[in-house]
Amino acid sequence: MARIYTQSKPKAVDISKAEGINKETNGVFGCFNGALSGHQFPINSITNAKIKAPVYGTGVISSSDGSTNGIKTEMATQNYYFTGKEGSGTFAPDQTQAPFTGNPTAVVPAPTKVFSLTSGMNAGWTSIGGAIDAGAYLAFDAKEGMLKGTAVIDTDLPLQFCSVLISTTPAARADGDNWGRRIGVFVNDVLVADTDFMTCSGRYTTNLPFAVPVGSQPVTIDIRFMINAKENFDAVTPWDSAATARSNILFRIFTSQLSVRNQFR
Amino acid sequence: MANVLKPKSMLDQETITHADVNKIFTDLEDNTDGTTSKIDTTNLRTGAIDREHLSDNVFIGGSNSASNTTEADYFTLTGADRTNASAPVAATTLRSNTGLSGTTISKGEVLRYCGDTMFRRGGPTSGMWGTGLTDGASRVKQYVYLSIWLYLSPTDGSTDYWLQIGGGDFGFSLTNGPYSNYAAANGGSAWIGGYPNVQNCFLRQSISGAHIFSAATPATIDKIVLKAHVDTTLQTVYFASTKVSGMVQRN
Repeated sequence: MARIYTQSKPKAVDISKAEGINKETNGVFGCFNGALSGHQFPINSITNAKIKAPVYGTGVISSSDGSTNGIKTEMATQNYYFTGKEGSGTFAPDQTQAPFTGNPTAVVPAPTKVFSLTSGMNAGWTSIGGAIDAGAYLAFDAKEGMLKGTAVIDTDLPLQFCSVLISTTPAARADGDNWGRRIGVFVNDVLVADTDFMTCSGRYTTNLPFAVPVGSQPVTIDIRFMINAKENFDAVTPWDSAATARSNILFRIFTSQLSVRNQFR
Repeated sequence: MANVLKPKSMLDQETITHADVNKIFTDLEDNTDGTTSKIDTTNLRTGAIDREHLSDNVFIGGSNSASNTTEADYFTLTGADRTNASAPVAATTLRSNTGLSGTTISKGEVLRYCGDTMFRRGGPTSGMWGTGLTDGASRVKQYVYLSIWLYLSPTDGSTDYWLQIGGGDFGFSLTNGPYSNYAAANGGSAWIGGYPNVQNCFLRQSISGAHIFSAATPATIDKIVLKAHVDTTLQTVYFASTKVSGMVQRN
């Protein structure tokens, strides 16, 4: 409600008529009673200092296991949420994920999380947010508006496709099945951004922007992956112990960051 | 000083005229007619204004700038920047954006950034498989890592420091995997990596994100820097049309 100035009437003596004075009063003070508009401010006079400062906070849920390593900042019209393990300190070029590794001099830092076909990996989507305590999961109460964010995740899948042995004498091989990874961002279990299948081996950092409308409601955002590994190929490829081979198909997670902006006004 | 309204007691006057009674109101009107300096920000307490009090097209949030290059203006990683060293070597600055130089960022404020990298790998067409062409042997790892760094100069005069705000490896690594070392003895290469023997392969990746500044001490941004490090001696890597921009969201 707009601020209302207390009105007082002049004493009812025979000097002047009250209603005449009030009429003038209303005309002048009226703009202060909730009608103060923008043209009464000189342009360019409202600086950042006049605006309510952001409120920084910690303890944002950053994993489905309940970890609270996320941070947030709340502004007048928008809130930001972030989870990730960032490096800071004196710069060294290979100190790329120092908080992850414990070995900042390694050219290839140790992964944060390793999945294998026989351990921790689903046939469909597998949530990364439930496997690490920060970087791939956020849960908070959103306000009605938009969620716009970016998931940055650094993963390594060792192989693209294996050839298959079609003859031992003479030795001959043919192309095998395509392997690949797919990484997606889920908001309240709805896929809102994904890479589609990346049929390339190697280590990639994928950058997945997303934007979704949201109500005033609890929101959970997590990053998931899917591997379209062809598990039966080893039936015709006797080069290795099949069981060992399958278990050694590794999917490695390195850096992971998730930042979200909730614009609500 | 703020304009102060002083109600005038009518009983103070022997004879009250209409003009006298209205004077305080006409003064007020004069002070509130929208003319520059009639009502200025000294009338407002700090933190009094929310975003909705602003008219359209008011940019709040600090600086916004971009640093662009042309396709021809590429950077080549050479020498130690692309060595296979296991110890850190000096990374090479791909692109700096000094548009935010001198901008202070404080706790709770957000650096919003975006970048556009064009990435080309040149180099030889042979030898890129590395070694290890027999069963059980390892091939040489070749990977190209692009990291994005924010360079901050603390205002207290202490040592500058770096903060990683994104990025990562740009792939086509010939990472050793359980089948990557499968060899000719069984009929040929067991696998094919990302782009093993291709010259002049291109990748483009967009980068964007928001970084919430969490340090208690405000810092002055020197620049936003894209840096890269390449872990291979077998090829040359080019970055072309690399761009980066950012802004500080204050409130």
